[in-house]
Order: sequence, then C-alpha cells, then structure tokens
Amino acid sequence: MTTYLKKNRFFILCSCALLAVLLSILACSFIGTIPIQLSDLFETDSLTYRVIYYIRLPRIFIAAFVGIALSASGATYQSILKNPLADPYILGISGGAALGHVISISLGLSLYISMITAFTGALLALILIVGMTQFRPRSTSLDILLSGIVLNAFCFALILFINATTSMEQAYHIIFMLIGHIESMDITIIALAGVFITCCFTLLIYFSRTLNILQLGDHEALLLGIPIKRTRIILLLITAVLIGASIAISGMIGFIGIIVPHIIRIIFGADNRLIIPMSGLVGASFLIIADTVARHSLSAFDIHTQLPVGVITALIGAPLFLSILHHNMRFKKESN
Amino acid sequence: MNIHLTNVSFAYSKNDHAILDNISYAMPSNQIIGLIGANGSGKSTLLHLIAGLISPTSGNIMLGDHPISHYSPQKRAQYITMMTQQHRPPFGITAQEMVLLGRHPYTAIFGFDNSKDIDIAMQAMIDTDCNQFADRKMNELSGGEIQRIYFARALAQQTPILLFDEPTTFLDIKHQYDIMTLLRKLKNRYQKTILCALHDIHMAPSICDTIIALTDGQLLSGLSKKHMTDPQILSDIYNIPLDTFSSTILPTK
Repeated sequence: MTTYLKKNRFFILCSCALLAVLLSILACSFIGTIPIQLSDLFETDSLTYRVIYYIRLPRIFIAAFVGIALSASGATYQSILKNPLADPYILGISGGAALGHVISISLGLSLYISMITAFTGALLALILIVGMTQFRPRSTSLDILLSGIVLNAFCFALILFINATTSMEQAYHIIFMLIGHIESMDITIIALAGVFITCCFTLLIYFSRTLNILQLGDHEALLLGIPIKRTRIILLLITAVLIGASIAISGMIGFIGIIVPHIIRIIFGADNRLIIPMSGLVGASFLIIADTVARHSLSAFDIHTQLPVGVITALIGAPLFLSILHHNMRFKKESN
Repeated sequence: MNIHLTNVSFAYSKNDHAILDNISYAMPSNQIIGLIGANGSGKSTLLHLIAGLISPTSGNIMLGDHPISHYSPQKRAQYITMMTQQHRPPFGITAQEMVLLGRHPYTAIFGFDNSKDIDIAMQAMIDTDCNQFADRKMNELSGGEIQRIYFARALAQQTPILLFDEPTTFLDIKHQYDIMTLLRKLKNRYQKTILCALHDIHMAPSICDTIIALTDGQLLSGLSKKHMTDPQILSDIYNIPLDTFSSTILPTK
C-alpha cells in the first residue's frame, strides 16, 4: 500500500516546491548589478528600497506567474491531447495570444485591453487547432503539432507585418515580446494577471485527477462518471486564460511548457495530481532563476544591456526538447 | 435499481439499417444474464446503450424510475459500469492506481482517496486475484493481467449493475474459470445484476441464470441450457446452416 499518491507525499512535495519558489524570490531579489544594503531594506527613499520594490520584485513576480501559467497549461495540454510534445508555444496558442496582444499594442490600447485581446487570440487559436484536428476520428497526434507549427508561422508573419507598420518604439516592444521578455511594469497589471493565473492554476489542480482519467479514453472516462465534453471545454478555457494573461505580461516565452512537465514526469511519474501543481511551482522557480540569469549575465562581461529571458529558456529548452524527442524515439524502438 | 428497455432502436446513421430494432426487455435484477449473438449482431451496442455511452435512436432505457440520460455521468457511474474490451493505458500508472480510479465517482473535491477507498480497491484486487501485482506498472503487465485489473476496477466502483463485454477474452482457462465463479459469488454476495456478453455457448448456461440472444436486430429472451444445444435455435441466432451442428460445433456423444 505504498505506491498510490498519499496526502503526505503530495503535501511534502508541494511544500518543498513552494519553499523553492519563495527561496528563489528571496535570493533573486538580492542578485543584480546594484548591491543591496540590508539596512536600507525598509528605508522608503533608499536606492535599495527602490531597486527591490520597483524593479526586481515586480519582475520576479511576473516571472513566477508566467512560469506557473506556461508550465501548468503545458502539462494540461500534454495529457488532454495525449501528446507528450504539446505545449502552448508549439501548438500555436501562444502565437495566437501574441497576435491579439500585438494588435492592441499597435492600436495604442491599454495593457488591460491587450490582456483581453491576448486571451481572445489564445482562445481562437485553441478553437482552430483543437477543433480542427483533435476531436476528429482520423487525426493523428502529428496533425495537431503540424497545424500548430503552421499557425505559429502564420501568426508570426502577421505580427511582423503589423510590426513593419508601427512606430520605432512599438516595433522595439513587439520584437522583445516575440522573444519573450520580462520587465518591470505597472503593478496593477501584474496583480491582475496574478489573480487570473492563481485562480486558473488552482482550478487545474482541482481537475488534475479528472485529467488522469481523460487520458484513458472517452468511454473509460464516461464509465467513471466524467462529463467529458464539458470537462474538456472548461480545461481548454482555463488554459486560454492562463496563456492570454501570461503573454500580455511577458511575451512569448518558449519551451517552459514542455521542459518543466517532462522533468517532473521523469522524476515523479505520470500522476497528474502531482504533475500539475509541481509543474506550476517548479516552472515558477525555473523562470525566476532564468530571468535573473538573463538580467544579470551580460553585466559579467561589462555589457550593460539585458538578455530577454526567452533567450535563456530557449538555450536550455531546445537541447532538452531534442533529447526528450530522442529518448521517446529510442523508447518506441525498444518497445516494438 | 432495474433496467428496463422499451422499444429501443439504434442505428449508427439515419440511412443504415437498424442494429437494434424495437427491442423491449426488462432486465431481471440480481441475476446473471448471458448475452449471446453473432459478431456484429449488436451485443456491444446494446451494452454501450445500457451503460449510457451512446443514446438510442428511438425508445427509452429506464434506470429505476428515470431514463438513463437524465442521470449525471457521476451518478450513473455509481449505478452502472462496464468492463470493456481492454487496451493498455497510455501512461505508466500502477495497477493499484488503476483500480483506485474506480472510486472516482465517489471521491470529493481534489480527489484524494481515503483509507476506505483503498480498502475497497484492495478487496477488489484480492477478489480478482491480482493483488500480487498491485505495485507493477500497467504497461508491464500481460493482456490477461490487465483484464483482471480492469475487472477489479469495475468491482471497486461498487455498482449494483455490472456490464461485461467478453470478460474472458485473453484469459487462460484457470482465470476464465476464476472470473466465472467470481461472477456467481459477486451476484450472491453483493446482490448484483450482471449482464455479460459471451461467445462461449457452452460456458453461458453454466454460469448464467438466464440467457438472451441478439439476432437480426431482435432480442430473444428466456433462453436456457437446453436451448444452447438446440441446433435449430443456434442456427437462427448465428445464421449458420443447420447441418453444421451435427458435424463440427456441438459436442458429439
């Protein structure tokens, strides 16, 4: 009677992950070009205070929320679509959200509205990709990845097209958004995205056992008492909110949604009740650290610009992605 | 809880011929009902209809006092479950985790299993003789072992009505025998109603209280042991020429 997910194991692992998030928040707010004076931490007019509360912490919180959103929705896609390579970026959902976001930026609309358009973009991309391929009887898991790649290319083309027509300042913003860039921004926007993301993340945790059962196939799920159509629509809507909110505050950060859930799966097994919460929390720490590296790494070489965080995640993510693919292929060959 | 079918018809599309044509049948409760019929005669379709996986083109299937479509999937899963023809799950959960999924219709928010659920799952695994590989991964088990795990899961669901689609495929003779005696034991111990699609017309009369047959979209009910050796009736059910029986299929004296 040892194997099944016990409450204890769940809570220990999740509190460890939560602790890791808190530790990385704490550690990363002390790392940077400007040295921190501990004595000034609560002096409202000191440099330390301003750097920590107005520059670093907002960034760290964006990174945490975006990490949660992308990893948790990646894990959800992987089990709902029964495809280990599914991830918001590869499926083109991020592309759709980015397009929505860019349209409102180019029209000079506020960030609040851009969050809504990003959500709409993610939703439309989801309807297109999932509706077109997944629930048709004869589509394969390859079809959905291919349509995702095509949709991504299409959204990129449209974004670059819009980019060419905008002002220099907007164009700069758009390019950085395409690579995935976290910078300090209006605290209310962060809070708003944070509320959305936390709520949706909790909902996904709530649905994680159902996700396990959905993986067994439609008939099985029905026999075990799950209203499958409704559940799928709810789950996909939740991910659209997650992705819309995260794109609006950080741009398109790739690969997190695929590497984090896979690492969790390799370490802790295939139970979604563990994978969903752990992916979210580990994703948060991962992105906080990646962003700190992005923020700080070039200054080591006396170059005073910052790397977009998307560069770091892609540098780590792409080789990992390839090795997962390679591992999968080898596994298939062995099991045949 | 009784299942009652009134004038049930089913066709996969409008222009197709009806697989089930105007069937009415009241399932006797607390009995093992054997369902026989040729391949493609609609045995699985009938089971799927009763399990609520598909809806009839016309007619009504009542569970207790209400049509089966009025129950929520969760409620329905507390009354009826089915053991389907199995395949491996796409991910590596253990056998015990699989059986515990049968407790899903009963678990509350956030889906933790309490010790009662675990006891029920464990008892189901002991009943189906698969507790010794509780900790093994599903994708490492053989077809017969997987079959027994799914059986255990259906038991763990503790439904008064159990549907089986060929429960003994993949099983060797020992486990076929075990499953069949288990079916009888279950019926007596837990007052279950069991509807069981079977291919083996020799096994059917020995474990079933009553036998029904599907042929040409019609349902013949109230068959018994003596019908299972009656060439005329078998030739009608399976659509084979009468003289086949004298030579090959029925055991000779």
